[in-house]
Amino acid sequence: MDPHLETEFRDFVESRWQPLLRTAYLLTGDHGLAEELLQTALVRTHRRWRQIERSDAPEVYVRKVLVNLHRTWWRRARRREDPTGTVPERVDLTADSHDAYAAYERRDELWRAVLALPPRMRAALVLRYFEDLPEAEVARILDCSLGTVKSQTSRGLDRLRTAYETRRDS
Amino acid sequence: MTRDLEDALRAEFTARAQQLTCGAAPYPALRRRIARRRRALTAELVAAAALVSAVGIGAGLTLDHPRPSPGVAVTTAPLAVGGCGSTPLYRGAPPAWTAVAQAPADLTYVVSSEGNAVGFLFVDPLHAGTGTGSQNKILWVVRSGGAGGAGSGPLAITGRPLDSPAAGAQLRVDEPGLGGGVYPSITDVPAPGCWHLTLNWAGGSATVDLPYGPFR
Repeated sequence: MDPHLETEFRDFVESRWQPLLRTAYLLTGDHGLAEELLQTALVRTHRRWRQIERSDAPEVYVRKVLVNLHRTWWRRARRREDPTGTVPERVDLTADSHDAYAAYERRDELWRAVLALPPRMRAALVLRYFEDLPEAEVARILDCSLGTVKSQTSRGLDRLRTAYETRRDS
Repeated sequence: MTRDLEDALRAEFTARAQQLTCGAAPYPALRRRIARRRRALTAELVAAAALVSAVGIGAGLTLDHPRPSPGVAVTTAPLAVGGCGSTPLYRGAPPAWTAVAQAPADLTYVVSSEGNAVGFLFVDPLHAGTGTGSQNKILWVVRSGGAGGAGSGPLAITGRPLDSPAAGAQLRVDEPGLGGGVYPSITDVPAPGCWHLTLNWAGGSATVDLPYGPFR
């Protein structure tokens, strides 16, 4: 690669590593996996850097790769999963909803519900509510229509509501 | 209710993201990955070119002397830098499956006629001589099966001058290997010329021709 482009790529990686890693972490829920996901996405980005840099939207491209890669990895991992007869333990939050520990558990319940969402739905929520991106931008990253973003977001919130608000109100 | 949930979600995402310990960008590691990926892609292109050549589509291609053996991963890029018999010496990206050996990137290497063994030459050019007379260090990497696993067991190398099939001068090297089909060796020969080597290991064998210069 041209040394000038290489320098630009390096500057991009060094300046955007942390925010992109945070996004990757919210997509995967695992620090190690997030680093691996981001590095893989950046390797792919490097291959097309000349075109991406010209389009003036490298971060959009990296986010796109992050989301798509994560979906692919998630599908593969899912195929490797073994069914188990044991249901994960759930905390009874109704015992003392004013307890600080219960508040922590509520948050944890929400986070686990986020991680249980399908990757595309989770990505829509992360991009909307963490990155604060407008729906049109989310649609661009997810490579789908505005209507799909709205429906994915809405359905994602519905699922979280089941896990979160029913417990909060109980 | 939706507003509460949205606020809770924003707060949760922010809190989780802030908990993450983000160090500096691991740029050197990323560069290494990019370089590895580039080598692997080059190797894939080389293999594809070899396939095209093998099925005759590339019949019009002119290949530098020495003529490579059929089925060998041969590049159309100007990487052949010598060799003898049916084995070119190459510089450039070696087959991707040899990455396990972590050979230095700038070494000259040979690929066996069968495509299942690669020898990285730490001495270039090679010189005839045995004992303390030479010390031609060659790192052999072998694999078993078509695209299968690494070679295993000790590696035995026998050799004879290419133009003297019945010559008395023979070569024999036995290497225990490092595992994973990786065998560091001192592959010395008693006389200069083009030597035809046969490599045998558990699950495979390969042949390769190597040029050895005068004694030194």
